[in-house]
Amino acid sequence: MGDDPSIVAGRQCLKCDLPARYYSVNPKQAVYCRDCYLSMIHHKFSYVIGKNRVFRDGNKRSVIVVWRGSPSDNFLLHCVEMGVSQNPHKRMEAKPVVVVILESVDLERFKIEYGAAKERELQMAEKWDWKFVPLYGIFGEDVEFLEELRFDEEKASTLRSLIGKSSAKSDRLELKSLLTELLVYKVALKLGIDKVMTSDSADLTAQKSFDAICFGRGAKIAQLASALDTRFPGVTIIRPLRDITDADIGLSLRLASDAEPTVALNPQVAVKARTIQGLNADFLSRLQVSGFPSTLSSVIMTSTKVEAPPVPQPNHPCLLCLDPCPIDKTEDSVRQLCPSCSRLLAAIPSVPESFYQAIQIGSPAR
Amino acid sequence: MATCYACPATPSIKIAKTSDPACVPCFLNWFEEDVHATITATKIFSRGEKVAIGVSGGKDSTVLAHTLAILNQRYDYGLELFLVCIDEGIAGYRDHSIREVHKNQSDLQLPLKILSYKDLYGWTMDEIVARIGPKNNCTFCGVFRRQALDRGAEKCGAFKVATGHNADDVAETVLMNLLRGDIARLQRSSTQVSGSEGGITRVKPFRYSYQKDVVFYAHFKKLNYFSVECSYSPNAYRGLVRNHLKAIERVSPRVIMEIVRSGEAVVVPQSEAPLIRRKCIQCNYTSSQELCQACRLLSGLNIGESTHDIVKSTKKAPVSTDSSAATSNGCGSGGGGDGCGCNNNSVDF
Repeated sequence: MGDDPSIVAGRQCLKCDLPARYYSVNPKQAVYCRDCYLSMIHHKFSYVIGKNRVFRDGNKRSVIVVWRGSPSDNFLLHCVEMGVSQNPHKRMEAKPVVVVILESVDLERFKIEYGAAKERELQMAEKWDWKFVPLYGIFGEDVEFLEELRFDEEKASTLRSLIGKSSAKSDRLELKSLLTELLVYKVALKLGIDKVMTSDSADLTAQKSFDAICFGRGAKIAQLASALDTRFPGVTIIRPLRDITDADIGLSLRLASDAEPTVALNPQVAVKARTIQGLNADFLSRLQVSGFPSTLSSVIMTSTKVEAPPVPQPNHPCLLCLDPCPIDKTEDSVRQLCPSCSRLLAAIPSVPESFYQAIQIGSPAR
Repeated sequence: MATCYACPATPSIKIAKTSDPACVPCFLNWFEEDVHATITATKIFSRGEKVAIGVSGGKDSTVLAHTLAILNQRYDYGLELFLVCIDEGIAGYRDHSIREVHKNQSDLQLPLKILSYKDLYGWTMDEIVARIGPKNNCTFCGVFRRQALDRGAEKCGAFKVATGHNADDVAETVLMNLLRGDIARLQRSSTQVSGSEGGITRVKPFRYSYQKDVVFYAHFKKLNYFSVECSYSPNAYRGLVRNHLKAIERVSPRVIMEIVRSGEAVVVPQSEAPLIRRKCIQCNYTSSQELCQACRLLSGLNIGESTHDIVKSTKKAPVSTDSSAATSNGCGSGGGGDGCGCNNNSVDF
């Protein structure tokens, strides 16, 4: 994916008569002019929405759009904005609510993150409802949205002790990912909205499949890679950018000249290479660009084709990942965690007891 | 000062699977007990069975043969053990490792059967590689070796083949099949017992044992094995996955077992998995199609088509321009015979 002149030189756009300037995954098969390239990318977004009848299921049209400042988050906002401002025949019948997850655990970065999100809100042409919620808000009985800049040091320090240290970094990152999903679910329940859009690109979706395999969650890869993720009761996670690579997203943003922060505040894949997540991301992207251009799509398609084994009754949902697990197989029946989450927390040194209490109090699984 | 996890002695190694420090005797005991726990938990053997152990002279199969012999005696499994070795005909590699197989056979006093690709298929791997070039070698070798092991087991009267695949191998296979989109293999690679529908079943007693622990065991037991990589394997796709697995294992050793567990947790919908089991019309080997894969590969070799049955052809069947060749049922290409363009008796340029 890109605009290397040596690849497109002398070729015609696949869709029209104009000279080609850009290409996606397979330049041998398809090269495009600017407008057709953008149209092709946007079509991938609308195809996921349309094929799955996301807003034609007879349910409410409100949808949460999760934003954390990455280029793919901005691209998702751009696509949703384009979608809702089309003519009535093509318009996406959605009422977006943007939820900003503030991940910082120290005050100064928290302020910067909050400020940048506020600035992004002001840049939007469409005036949507923006909700700000800190990641440490997962520890409360109820989710509280920030009407103004406010930092809870006690909850932030609990989160800091879990994800802010350098030991067992991969496990802490996995825990952070689980807590973020749990928080998004709680937010959706609080707002009474049954649809959540995330900006998981093809790169991130494939990486999450690999990460899940590496943390013993192979049973979940079908949902993690699916365009519609129904793991959470009453809420559907939608991944409309699942078939679009990070490179295509970057090029599309550049061509659309969309306003975006120059630095991704908490980029989803900005992990150090010395973590399982970073190594997986690096491995998949290297395969993708070095002779195996179907790597990402193969991982995603393969993941969606497998199933989890049926869960015998009785079962209860894990407090952390909400996976239904048989009651007699729960390794930690007091704390109500599935075997994978139990092993994950066991690998993180010095998890405070207050974490288990906090997660138990606030969990929708209770 | 650190002590062995099981006794007060000074530890010599760290067990790869558990990260516990251990002295040599406790490690050797731990390894054997760990394999025994795998065997009993997965129930892969039954009393009185004849089991063919696939041995290559490499560390995994050498350790497997020794461990099974020890456990068979210690816990009275009641198994009759045989050694089966396959000679692929790779000069400078297999000929050396077969010498180690003979040494193991004399150490263990178990019957040994050696089968060669040349005898079974009429080709050695060296001849195959000379014909097809450096790509897709492992496809040929893997298919041929699996069938050869089964045939060797049959000659011993055994209906079970034990191989030395360890947790690292299983984890590699899970990742590889995810990358290649091989759904059916993804499920088969993680099952405790495979191939049971076809007669000869395959079991992996080391499926929960880490490769490093296998190497330690071989080293401290002073077992004879041949530790050179196959000369044709550097180009294999598996090598890329293996390097990645080693990198993530360095970060978190437990990731190997997590991947194995993930593979076991995955279920393939029935429509994706092959259902039919029959006999190959050429060699009578169990196959899901009329011709088994080995016979199909051999037919390609024999007619000089190096990618026959390895690479999917995207070429459409040619439309005949000869009006006499068109029949009412068409040429048969396309679904259902009548769906092709041959009936039109015309060619549009």
